[in-house]
Amino acid sequence: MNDRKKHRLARPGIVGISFIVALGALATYASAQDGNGELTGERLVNARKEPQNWATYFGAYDAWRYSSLDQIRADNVKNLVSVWAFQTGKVEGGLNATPLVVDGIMYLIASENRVFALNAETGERLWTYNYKFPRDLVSPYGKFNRGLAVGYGLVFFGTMDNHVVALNASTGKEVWNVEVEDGKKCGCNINGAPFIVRDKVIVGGTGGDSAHRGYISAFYAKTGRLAWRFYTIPGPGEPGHETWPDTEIWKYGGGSTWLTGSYDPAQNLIFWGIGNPSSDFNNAVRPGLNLYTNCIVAIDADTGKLKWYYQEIPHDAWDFDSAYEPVLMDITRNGKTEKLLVHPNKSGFVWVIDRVTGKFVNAWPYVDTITWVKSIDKDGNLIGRNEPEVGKQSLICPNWGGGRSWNHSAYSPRTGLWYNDGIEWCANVTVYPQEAREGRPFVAGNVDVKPPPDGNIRAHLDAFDPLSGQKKWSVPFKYPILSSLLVTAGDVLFTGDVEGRFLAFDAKTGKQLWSFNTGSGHRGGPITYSVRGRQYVAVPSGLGSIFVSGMPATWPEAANFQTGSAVFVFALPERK
Amino acid sequence: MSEVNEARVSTNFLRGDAFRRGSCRLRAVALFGVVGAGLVTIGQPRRILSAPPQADKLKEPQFIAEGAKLFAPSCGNAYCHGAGGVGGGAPRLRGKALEAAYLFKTISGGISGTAMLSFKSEFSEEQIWKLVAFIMSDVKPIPDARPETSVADKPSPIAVRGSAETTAESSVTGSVQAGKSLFFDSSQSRSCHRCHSLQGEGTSIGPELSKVAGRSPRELFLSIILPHDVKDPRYSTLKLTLRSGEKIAGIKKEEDAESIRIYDTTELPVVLRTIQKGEVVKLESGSESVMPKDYASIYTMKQLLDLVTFLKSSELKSPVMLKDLVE
Repeated sequence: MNDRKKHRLARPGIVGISFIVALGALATYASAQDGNGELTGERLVNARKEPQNWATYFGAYDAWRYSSLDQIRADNVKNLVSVWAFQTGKVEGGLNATPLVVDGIMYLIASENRVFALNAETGERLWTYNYKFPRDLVSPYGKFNRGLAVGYGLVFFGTMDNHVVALNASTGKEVWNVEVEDGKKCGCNINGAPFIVRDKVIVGGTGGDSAHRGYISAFYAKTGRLAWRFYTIPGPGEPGHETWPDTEIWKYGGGSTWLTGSYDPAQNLIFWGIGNPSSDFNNAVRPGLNLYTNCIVAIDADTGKLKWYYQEIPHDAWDFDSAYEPVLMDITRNGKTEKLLVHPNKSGFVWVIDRVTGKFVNAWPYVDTITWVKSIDKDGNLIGRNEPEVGKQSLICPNWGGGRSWNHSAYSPRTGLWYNDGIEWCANVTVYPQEAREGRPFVAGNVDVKPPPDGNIRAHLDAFDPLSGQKKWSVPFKYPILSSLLVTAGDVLFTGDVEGRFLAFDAKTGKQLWSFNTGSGHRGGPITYSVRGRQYVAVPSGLGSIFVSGMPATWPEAANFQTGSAVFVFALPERK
Repeated sequence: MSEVNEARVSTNFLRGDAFRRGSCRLRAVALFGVVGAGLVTIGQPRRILSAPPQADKLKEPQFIAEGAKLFAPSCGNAYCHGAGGVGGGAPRLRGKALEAAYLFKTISGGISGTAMLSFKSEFSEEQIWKLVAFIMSDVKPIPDARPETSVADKPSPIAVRGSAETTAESSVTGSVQAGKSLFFDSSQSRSCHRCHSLQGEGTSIGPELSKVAGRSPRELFLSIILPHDVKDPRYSTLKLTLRSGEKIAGIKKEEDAESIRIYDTTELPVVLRTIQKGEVVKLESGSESVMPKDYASIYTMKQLLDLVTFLKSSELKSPVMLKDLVE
């Protein structure tokens, strides 16, 4: 067990010179968008200085989902009025995305890789891009898409058939298109949002529940050429390969990278949560720690080389991905500022890790119902693992769907609180050993959702001290919250529920301040931005995803929750 | 793994008449000296779609129970249709009065554009009918049922792809199956199918390869490992120099009045780029193939033999052997 704790690897050399050269080349590439100049990797490092924009998936590299805009505040949010709405035109798959806004233009990706550029003040459509799919498309992980990246005059996104595409941000015309891996063979595709770091676009992929070996890829933003690839399962001869058995299973062991990472410019490190090993529920086929599945990895942004890793759940048997957002916080206690990484896990725990050393700092539960492990000790060891076994049913809490789903948390440096949702539920897990067949489902288990031992299935929205896990307030919900959270310097926390209500809470107290029914449930990421001094809040509305498809088994009425696909935008009334 | 599989072929060693050098011959004889037995044949001949079983059969408790056992691991996981066909990420199946013929067709062929895969390579027709019987029944799922074939007892799970063939026979002659696995290895950016198609699968960046089966093994071998010219002008090399100074080499896909779409093969995976004509300051074309030139250092001799064997498999009358590549 000791060898799984933080490993510091040699840091590669400084690459500043090549970076400057690369930026110089890019500067001539696309025309400047407006007075701010082109959106470059350098400008994105300082995204917090441009609160008028929501320029990256999480709003900034730290994954806070926080905005310093404060025109809309807890004391006036009740006055919000709808300003415009945009219908994407196809509802299948819902609307899972987080829109981006850069210099007055909103970029939106909807299901089936339809991309739109909109005037962020009026909703006027500037261009539409429809991705052309092959006739024999196989789409193992759904039609939805979680978001795109914008920079260097280009718009980047991953596709249902496992390509990465760059569009001209002014015209919506395709500039480059690369097939990352043959989607018909690998049982993988891309529905997470890419993000830009320096001169590269960084992108993960699905495939963790198929027989597939995961990786993170970096493409040069300008050309689409592959810059580096980090495999989440080390190959023969690489450190960590010994944590897999001496069979071919490492080629099929999962470790997908289906969401989006964060980035620390000071260290030039990309942090990424790596998904579960497969087969998900039958860990007998892969004795060993199974690195780097269920790890936080820190990767040099220029080279793709591993700097350190921390494995939260070695040798997973529960499909508890470590894929959720790594939130970067600098927290001062006892007069000392620590550079931390706060990381919610599907398993119901939050891990707190030192993001310089990769050392374990703390782990604390964000849900009440946890039976897969008895506890996590002060060194991060899992005590009392309750693994499902072949040939018998095991009650595991939380359910496979997670202590929460992938929709993201938010952190406010003003309140010092980290906002998150939670679900109290369990499942009877039955293990069915399966043989690995490349690109085919490799789950090896079924789950039957059950209520927790102490009552009904229920959900909640909470505010925590991110380091200790002390709960500051909690709001109960009947159904899981499946929308990402947004918190602002006006001390307002926004999210939406699965029945369609867009909700605003007082970030300090949890008091509900406002709601607006958009007519379909919330599964995407609300954002805030401003144009010409007016602050807007935009929310995608449109229920649909793997999680949502499974809901009627637990909540039969959810079969009648309407899907949709629209963005609603709100602001305070204009002064006459 | 035999020494053969470890041996990498250096490009120098392959140029000119290096193959005729005694050391090579000796090595080949020493390693492949045993004359091989039969070849692996590709695919079983397709049976005609069997008529659906009698309606009564679909209601037989034993038939249904066997379907339930098959359903659990392959269809019942939570990402797919859920335990017993309800509550997964894919549509609910049970209690929907779906028709037998529709279910059979869908399980067998999948649904394009969705997550529903084709299962005809995984299940026999009888097994698919058993799945149909289970789905149409109101029998409760058997969540603790063990699958028909359990792999739990196997000491080392070996995945289907790339299973090493270590018998003496297979190291003498090429293996169609191993060659096919290499050709379609999706984890490698340099895998053949990322640019070529064959047997209706793969990508159409480079030529479709069904016609090359008529070529000699040696000719195929050399065209994989050595730079060569292409005869078909559609695949000639296009070299662009851009205003920015960037140079792109690749194969033109199409062009219109304003732009050229080119498969940039400078780095793999291949990038399809749209270049505005105004950006191009120099344009050259040549007949040299844009294929990567390092296959000799990537693949072992045995793997190259397997690839050639697969490429020739549609016309294969006798096994391809190592000596066919070198002479």
